[in-house]
Amino acid sequence: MPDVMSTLPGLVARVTRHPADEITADSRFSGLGRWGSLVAVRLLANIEQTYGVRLDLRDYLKIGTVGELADEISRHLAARATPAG
Amino acid sequence: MTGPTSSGPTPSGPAPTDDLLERVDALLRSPEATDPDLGDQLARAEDPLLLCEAGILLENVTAARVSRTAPRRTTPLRIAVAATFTADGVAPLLRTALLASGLDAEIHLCPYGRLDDQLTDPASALAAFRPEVTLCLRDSGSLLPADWDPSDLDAVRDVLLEQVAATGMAAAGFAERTGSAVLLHTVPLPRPDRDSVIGYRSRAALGRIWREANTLLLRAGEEHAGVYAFDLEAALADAPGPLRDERRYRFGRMAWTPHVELVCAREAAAFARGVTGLGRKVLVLDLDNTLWGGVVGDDGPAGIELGTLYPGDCYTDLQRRALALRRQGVLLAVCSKNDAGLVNQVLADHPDMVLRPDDFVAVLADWQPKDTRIAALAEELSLGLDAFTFADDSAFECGLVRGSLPQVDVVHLEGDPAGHSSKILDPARFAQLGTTVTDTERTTLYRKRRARHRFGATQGSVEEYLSGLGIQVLVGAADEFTLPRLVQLELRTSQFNMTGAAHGEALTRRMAGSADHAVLTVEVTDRFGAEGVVGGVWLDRGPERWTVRNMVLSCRVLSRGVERAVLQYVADRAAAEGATLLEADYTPTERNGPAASLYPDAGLSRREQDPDGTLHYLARLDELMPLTPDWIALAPKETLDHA
Repeated sequence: MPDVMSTLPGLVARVTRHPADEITADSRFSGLGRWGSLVAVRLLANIEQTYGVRLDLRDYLKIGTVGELADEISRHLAARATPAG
Repeated sequence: MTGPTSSGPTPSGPAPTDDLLERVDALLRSPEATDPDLGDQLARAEDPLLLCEAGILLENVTAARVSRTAPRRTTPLRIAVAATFTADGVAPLLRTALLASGLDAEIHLCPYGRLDDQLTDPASALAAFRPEVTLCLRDSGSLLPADWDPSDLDAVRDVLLEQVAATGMAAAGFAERTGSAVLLHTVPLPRPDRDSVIGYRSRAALGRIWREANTLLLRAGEEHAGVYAFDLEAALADAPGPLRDERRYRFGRMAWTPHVELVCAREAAAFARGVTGLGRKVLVLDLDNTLWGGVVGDDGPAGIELGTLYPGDCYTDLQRRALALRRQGVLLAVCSKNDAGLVNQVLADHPDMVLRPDDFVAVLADWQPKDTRIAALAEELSLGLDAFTFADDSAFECGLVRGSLPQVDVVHLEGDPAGHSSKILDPARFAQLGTTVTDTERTTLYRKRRARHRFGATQGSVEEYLSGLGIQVLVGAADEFTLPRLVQLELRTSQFNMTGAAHGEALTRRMAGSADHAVLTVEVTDRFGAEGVVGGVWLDRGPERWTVRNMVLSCRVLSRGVERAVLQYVADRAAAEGATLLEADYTPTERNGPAASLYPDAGLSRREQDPDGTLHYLARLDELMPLTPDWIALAPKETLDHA
């Protein structure tokens, strides 16, 4: 499984215009300059296209930090990699 | 500036996505920075998420900085987006699509869900924006009541058709009131609505009813002045992915996925090219491996590939598409390194050729460099190089023309010939609002113009040449048949356009039908034949003073004194109706220098100047000198209506 935190800051930077090298697992979305619901929807689309996952919007909207988002994406990638049963 | 799919030799395929955004960043870091190839790259990119981010960043970057040539249109296009759903994703995609088309734009996004009141309220923010182009975006939720009853589809139909009729009327009213070109579209029906009906007969009925509604929308785009429609529902057959992401819709009332937003934005940009008259007018085609398969010089006329078998059928299809363009006013020309005798033999006699010698405005078959030949053809036809598209299978020829004639739109026909036709038919390339009678006859007109140009080369003095032409200028009121052509002409004409502006169809129609105004058409004939409607005049008719609001003349008839004869006609009419003063306006633009001297040379004196640079000229009618040149016979076509 790829390390999501190596690529996710680049996507967050793409939509927020916050420098990628300043985005860490502890970065809170609400503290990233242009954050808002439209930016959140754009980020979701970028994530789903990049990682090939589909997130539950309710869970996604509750996420506060970049690290939590990386964990959520990783969980989906792991679930996809391990067939049920 | 080039059409979206134009390409020269591409070194390394599509650029990695973030590389494009880095190039955008580089532009933002320095206001002087340019990236002439970026517009083409944006036109080719297919990732709506990337293009959306690029569009947000490019808000203040001009088309000149991302194009290989200076844009033809120098003022930003005022374009409004009014939607029944959250269309914030469409605006940045529209920005990139317009920049890729060489258009600067001021984009106004109406608040979500306000389409109907913004269109109908004369005091709305939309009306105050004074858009030249208005996109009306609608989702199924605005037409279909939330509690629609699948067991009573007749009632659903009544509501739908009423809603759609109201939409058409609101669009027509807005176009009429503001002069904006309004673009509607067919509305796709999302899957949950389709799947709500479980009976096969009822589902067929729902599909029929839905298409009745869409048919009404399309009809509005055929019938109302200033209203146009594009068939989004049909276009989506070629879009990847679903129409709607239920999460985006439920959470933020975003009715379309980004792919659909991109389809819409590109259609809208193509429409904007049509509105602003930027559609290409000439298609120059290579022969070997372009118009037919194989090399006629090597394979012989009997050995080239055409007909009903692959791959010959691909070339036959391309010829049929080119013929369809020719029938709608696009001029076709051949530019090929070939033996002229052999080429003429194939064009005239090959049984599988669709295109014949008369379909071409020029057949250039020799061994000269293609850039030189195309530049000379532009000269002979009196058309700008930015009206030209050039299609060739050779990377060398494409690179040559692209390099030395950057205004020309170059289509590199590489790869499987089955894809060639679609490359040429890109919707933004030849976009125009409507075709007119003149369009269908354009090839004949321009063949005559070329002959005239060559006749000119054999004559002595200019006056001798002009007298030999036997020019007749006919001026009369615009009528139902000539008005669409006139509207198109004003849009397309940038050199001899006294104000650089265009009145648009709705306003022109209103002026033509008003006793206080008049709209005149100018036709020219000479020994080579009739040119058709080549000019127009938009007038205010006051009791004392007549004012020429705008005059345009096609560059086909420039340098012949036609404009002076037209001004003479206006002066004569004004005097005959009792006016004593003639006023005329001239607004300098980057391209209308050729028109600057008409009013001062005709003896009108310069009065005040407006802040936008518009110069007002005035003369007493009884002091005007005779204006019509000796070599022109001026004839009124008919008397003005309402006079």
